[in-house]
Amino acid sequence: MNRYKFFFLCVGLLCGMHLSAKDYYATDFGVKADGRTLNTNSIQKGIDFVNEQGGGRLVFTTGNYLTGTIYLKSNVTLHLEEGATLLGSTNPWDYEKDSYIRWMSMIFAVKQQNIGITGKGTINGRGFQTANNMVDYIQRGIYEDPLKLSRPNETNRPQNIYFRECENVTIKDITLRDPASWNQTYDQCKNLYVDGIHVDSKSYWNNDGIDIVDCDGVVLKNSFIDAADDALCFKSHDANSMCQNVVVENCVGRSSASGLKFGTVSRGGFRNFKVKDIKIYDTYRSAITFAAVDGALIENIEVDGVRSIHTGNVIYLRIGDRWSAGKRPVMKNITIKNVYAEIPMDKPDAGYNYEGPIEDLPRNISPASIVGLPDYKIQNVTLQNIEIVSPGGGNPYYAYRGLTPAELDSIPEMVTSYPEFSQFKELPAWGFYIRHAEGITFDNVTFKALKKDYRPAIVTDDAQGVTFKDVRFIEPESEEKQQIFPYKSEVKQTGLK
Amino acid sequence: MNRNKLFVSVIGLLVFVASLSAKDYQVSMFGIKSDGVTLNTRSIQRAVDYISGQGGGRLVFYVGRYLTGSIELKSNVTIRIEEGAALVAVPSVYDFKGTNGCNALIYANKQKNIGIGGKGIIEGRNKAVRTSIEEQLQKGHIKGNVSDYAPALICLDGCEDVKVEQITLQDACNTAGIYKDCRNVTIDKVVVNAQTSESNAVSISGCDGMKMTDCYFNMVVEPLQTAGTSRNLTFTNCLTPDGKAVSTDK
Repeated sequence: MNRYKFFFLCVGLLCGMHLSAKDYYATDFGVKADGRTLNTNSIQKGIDFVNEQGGGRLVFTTGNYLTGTIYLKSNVTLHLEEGATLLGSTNPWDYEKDSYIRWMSMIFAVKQQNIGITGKGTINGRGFQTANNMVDYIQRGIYEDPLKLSRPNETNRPQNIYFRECENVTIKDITLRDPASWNQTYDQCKNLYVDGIHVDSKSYWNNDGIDIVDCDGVVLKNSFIDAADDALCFKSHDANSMCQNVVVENCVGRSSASGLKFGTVSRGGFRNFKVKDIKIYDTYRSAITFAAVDGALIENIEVDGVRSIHTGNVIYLRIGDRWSAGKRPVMKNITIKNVYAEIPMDKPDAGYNYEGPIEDLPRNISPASIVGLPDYKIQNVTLQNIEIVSPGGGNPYYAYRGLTPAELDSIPEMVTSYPEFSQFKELPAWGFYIRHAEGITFDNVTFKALKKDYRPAIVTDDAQGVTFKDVRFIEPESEEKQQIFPYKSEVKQTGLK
Repeated sequence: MNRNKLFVSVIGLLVFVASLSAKDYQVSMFGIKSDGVTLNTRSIQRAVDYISGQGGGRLVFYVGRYLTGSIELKSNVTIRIEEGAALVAVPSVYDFKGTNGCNALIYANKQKNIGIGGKGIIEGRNKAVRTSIEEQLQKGHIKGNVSDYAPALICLDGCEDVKVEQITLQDACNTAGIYKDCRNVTIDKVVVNAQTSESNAVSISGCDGMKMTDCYFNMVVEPLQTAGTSRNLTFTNCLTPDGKAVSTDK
């Protein structure tokens, strides 16, 4: 009797499972898991069929599935079981350059709803080989590309995923590896949910970890991202769109560029972000960098909980005027709190594939910076409960920027330049440099240099309403040193140690 | 002065003649692989598009097996399959398409000055392709009959100045060569091998001007199917295994 009960229970459970999203198996569409059959058209048929049947999951069981460009359609989830790999063709001709998106990708979705890629399987673009094959074709003259910096343009190399104008997108548990270009782009999507993904993206130049472009309603959490280019990257390509209403939580990033980045393309803006508990390590440039260089509005951003270990720079906020086309850049109401950061003397990304380029030399260790423009100030930034450990040791015989008005004014504005923390070469502070800003508050912040530096910890230039509350400086052999140097600034200090 | 004029006109004539002669492109230039495993469809298509865009020429396949799905032939391009080379159909229904419902390994619609030649083979892999079609029909992923999907080897629709020469057309899933509404077609020294009842050698409809010479049809069914009104068809020394000459009148 009990046995019967168990049997019926099982039947009942199976029925229940069938009522939820229906599963279709890729192999039923003639898709082969042998790693050498090019399955592009069979997988596409599977997607089309599931879509026509009203939706469900197209399931890939253990095996290697070779493919070129496929288009995901509404109500279809690609489910990659553990051990299943979507293997990108290494032949650039097997990829579409979508005429609307004007980019190449392995998996596209354009204007689709309720789509996803889930499961503990892998998407492996094998981008190194694909990109180099493309270089060969360009060199032979059978593909047109300027081959700038001896690499094909980003748009002529396939990403792993490019979703554009999609709604209700779920990316969960998957591993994304080795794209030929950026890795995964979600562009003008609504309700994007990314949870528990693992990214290993350092097989070729411009290998970002994740690019979220002009999306509204984003959750990105519990993910690990190791990338040659920017790791957790938000962009705004469209002056009339924005990245907004975004939660980033419990993510780990590693990059030969920057960890958490807004920009560089920053036309529309970034609004209402809550970033909680991120770790950035072995990262060449900045752990956190927000760029409004193309007319972006950046406002209401809270970053709470950052461990930045072995990272070249901690915070870099920059307003520039690069491709603004007359749009006024704004950066205001930013809180960064509960940060612990260690900056090394050595190159943080040494040994990783596609290490960041060594440039802007000579320069001693660069400080964290907030740099606006004379006409566009960065406003209302609160830095709270922060400890930054720097190597110090700035040597004036190697690179020198003194504190005279002439020397401080000699720092170029670099209005139209690409924004990087190192762009000004030697800066006059070892801890923090602030220029063209209003309402900057430091509250319970510790700056620690491991070796004596010739520079003060902090220099402000054209900064109004700067408050230092409970700010501590620890630097060997420097007890009497004036660590805050205001220039053309209005600065208030309380509880300094 | 006259000598200069002569010189210039000779050079001009040479340039003109050179531009008329077809340029050869090796398939390796386009990353097309001869391993029999790599699916070359898009690489071959890319090559055809490129050569057509450059004004024309021959895409030359040397020894090896070249796996492919459907290719669309474009104006002024000749696919040349040299001795020892085989263009091999991939056994997957979803890799075939065609023009106006005429699925084929090589198809063209309203193209001019096109060719398929060389002493190589085009291999349809009838059984394997058919299995894929039947399997997908059975699973309900596609609807209809096998014949709705079975690809021909060559299907040319509304094309002009066509040359098919020397090639061996083998093991087609459907008719080996379908010619609809074409003008000025030359078929010379073509061998068709097909040991199944599903395959005709040649299907001709609505064509004006076709010369078929020295062809050999190794078939179990009638090699020739003519439908619709075709004009100016001539068949010279085209034989079946029992020595019968092929002609339009049965």
